[in-house]
Amino acid sequence: MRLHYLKVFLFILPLIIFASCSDDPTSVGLSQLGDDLINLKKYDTQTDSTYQTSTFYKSTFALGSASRLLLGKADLVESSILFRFSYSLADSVKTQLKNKTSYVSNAWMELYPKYNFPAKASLTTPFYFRLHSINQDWTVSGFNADSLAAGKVTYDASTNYVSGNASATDTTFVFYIDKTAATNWLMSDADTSFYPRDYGMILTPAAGTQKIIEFQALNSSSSDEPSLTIVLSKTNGYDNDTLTFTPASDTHVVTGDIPSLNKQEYIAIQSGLAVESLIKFNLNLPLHAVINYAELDLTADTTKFLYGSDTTTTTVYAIYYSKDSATWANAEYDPITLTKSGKIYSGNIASYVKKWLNTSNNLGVVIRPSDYLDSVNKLVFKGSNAVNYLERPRLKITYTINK
Amino acid sequence: MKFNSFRIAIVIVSIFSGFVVAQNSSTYTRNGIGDVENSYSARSLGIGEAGSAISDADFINMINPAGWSGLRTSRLEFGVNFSGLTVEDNNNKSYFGKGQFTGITLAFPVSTKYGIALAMGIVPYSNVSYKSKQYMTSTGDEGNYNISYEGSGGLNKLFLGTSLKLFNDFELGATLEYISGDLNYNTQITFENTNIASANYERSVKPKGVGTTLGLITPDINSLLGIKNIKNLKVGFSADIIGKLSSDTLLISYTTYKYSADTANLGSADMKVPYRLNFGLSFIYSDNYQIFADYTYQPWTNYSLNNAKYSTLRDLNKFTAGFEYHPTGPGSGMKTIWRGALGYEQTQYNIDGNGINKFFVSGGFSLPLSPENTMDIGLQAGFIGKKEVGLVRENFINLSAGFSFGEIWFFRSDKY
Repeated sequence: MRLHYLKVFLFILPLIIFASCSDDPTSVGLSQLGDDLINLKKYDTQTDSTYQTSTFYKSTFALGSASRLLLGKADLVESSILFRFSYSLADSVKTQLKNKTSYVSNAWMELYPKYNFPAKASLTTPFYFRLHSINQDWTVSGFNADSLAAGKVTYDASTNYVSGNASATDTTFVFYIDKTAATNWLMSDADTSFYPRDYGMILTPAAGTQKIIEFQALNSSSSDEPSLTIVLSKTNGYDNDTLTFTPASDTHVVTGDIPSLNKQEYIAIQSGLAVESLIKFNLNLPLHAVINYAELDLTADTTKFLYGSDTTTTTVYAIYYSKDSATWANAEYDPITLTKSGKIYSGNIASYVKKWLNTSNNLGVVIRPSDYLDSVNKLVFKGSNAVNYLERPRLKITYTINK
Repeated sequence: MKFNSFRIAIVIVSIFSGFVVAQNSSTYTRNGIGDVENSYSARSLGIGEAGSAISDADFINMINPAGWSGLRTSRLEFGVNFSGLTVEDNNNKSYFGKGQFTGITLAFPVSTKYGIALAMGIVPYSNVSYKSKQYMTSTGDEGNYNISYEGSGGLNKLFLGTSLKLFNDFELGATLEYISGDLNYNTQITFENTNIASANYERSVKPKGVGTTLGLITPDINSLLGIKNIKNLKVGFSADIIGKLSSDTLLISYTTYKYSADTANLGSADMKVPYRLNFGLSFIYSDNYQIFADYTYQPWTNYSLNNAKYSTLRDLNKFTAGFEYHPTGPGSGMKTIWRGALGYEQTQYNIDGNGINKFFVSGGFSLPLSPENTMDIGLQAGFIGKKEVGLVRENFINLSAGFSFGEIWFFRSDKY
């Protein structure tokens, strides 16, 4: 039997050796492949005479999830901040307030500035604001500029609960609050029948303001969050209670006019104010083309940019525009980042182009600021009717197709 | 059946199961259902995939089921195959190797007196296997890129059949077959510039359906002719008939970025594979030599997919002749069986009006492991096509190793 094993081994060995060897494939036999052969092709909206349109418009952003809170006024844009606090006072404190055995002896709010808008603004740039109590129930979820305009939050604009002047440095911003207002907020928590009820507060810019300050908003690390401090004093003169609260929710609302530009020449986007641009190319591509690369190029006019000290203007988003809106609630519509190089913002929107082909429905691509929640930066680009056609939005597509 | 022999076989099968991803044919196989496989075993390869008139006692005949009526013992056969192939045109030449497990069959005699045997197994029916690649240079933004073309897959045949010996020793056989498999044709373009997504085109056809093979082998007709030194002169015929195969088809193209899949076409179509006829003659000369000759015809001009016919196909004609040397006398059961054949085939491929022909020479031997068990080695070498007029020439060598295990089943052993 050993001889048989040897025979078997001697035959198996060369088979294994030979079966392990193969050259890399070459072009031999390509001419036999007929319809399977594919071609690489290019399409350039600049050289392939493609009709395109562009415009810019004002949308709405709910800014409740923003990492910043913007307050102030500049460049025809103004921003207000809304807070809601949940005081949840101890029963003993509630009793003292109701029995009037303690009272508010001091109250202040502390905010943490991060950036200024415009970037040239400084501590000495005029900045005035007012504090009002909100008179009706509201929720931060979905709250935006339209909500404010629709009267979903009302307040007495004639009553300002800011007491004295604010104390501002580069890193802190402190202002004192009218004690009556603070008392009302606490009493609303202590006594369910107390009136006026507490529905939070709104900070609004006042006349003469020439900058917008970007404060730290609520965040997961609780770092530099806004805080409200109220000091309770006893009527018997003993002991003070110092209570510090952070907001249960916050948001800011940006209002203003759409940038004033020559719409034939320019398109614009602006964070906070929710100004977006829409560009549409009438592409002439084969239906079953595979899109390997589709570079969207936008030419910026940086002389018309206006941005804050956080110069996050090196990227913008391109967003697939669906029937109803530009959205990425569905991951399929993830924004694609266009990155600045010189005065050109560019990015690969191949997946959008492919979707236009698949659905035979090309509604265009939306351009949105990448910091659309956290600033009021304004960026301006050349539009589809720019006099210099070389500066118009450009789409360069590399695609493959069966021969 | 010796346990050790079986263990050796398992080792070989395991080794070769790892070599299935490779190339063993050329871009000709893009046409139709690819190369038609006539054999899975080393023994069949050694006789040039012929034998439609051979009624063998020790091997399972896959050309003609009527040949099973000669089986004396239950048999298990399987094999592995190595293909070495050079593919060349006027500009390039490449070598490819491939090893794979080829099939398994089981047959057992129910009545040797009446020639009744049952057989079953799974064997290949066709094979698509090619790789080709274009290396492209570009000064554009995309940089250099290359395009790869690959065909793979094939059809397999799962069968169950029987044989019967009629009056005057006419042998009949029939099988019921389930045909299935997938034929895949993929193209991929990749770029040196990694910012540009590669593109993939995948086309596949997945046919399935039933078929049958009917066979007949005559008794010894030399009793009528009286030719000296010849006996067992037999004529054989078999017809391999496949009904319309229901085929799922898929054409998809996509790139590597998200959400880019494009199912361009997903449907079903009927595939019509033409019947195959085998005619054969065999006889034993001088007690030791079994001489045979076969002719195979398959009208591939009748092939269609979704009612579309293809000008790249023509009718197949194949001629094979060969011999098998069986030792005789005392101890012959432990002596080596030798075999050889020559063949010429007008393949089904017809490229731009040029018929693709194949020439081959086969040989092999069966090495006894015990009186009923053999290890079989088959070798076939030849070439297909030509390099002229934009065609491709394949120079191939196929080496097949297999085992044929025999065991007397269904016989009651004596009790002591």
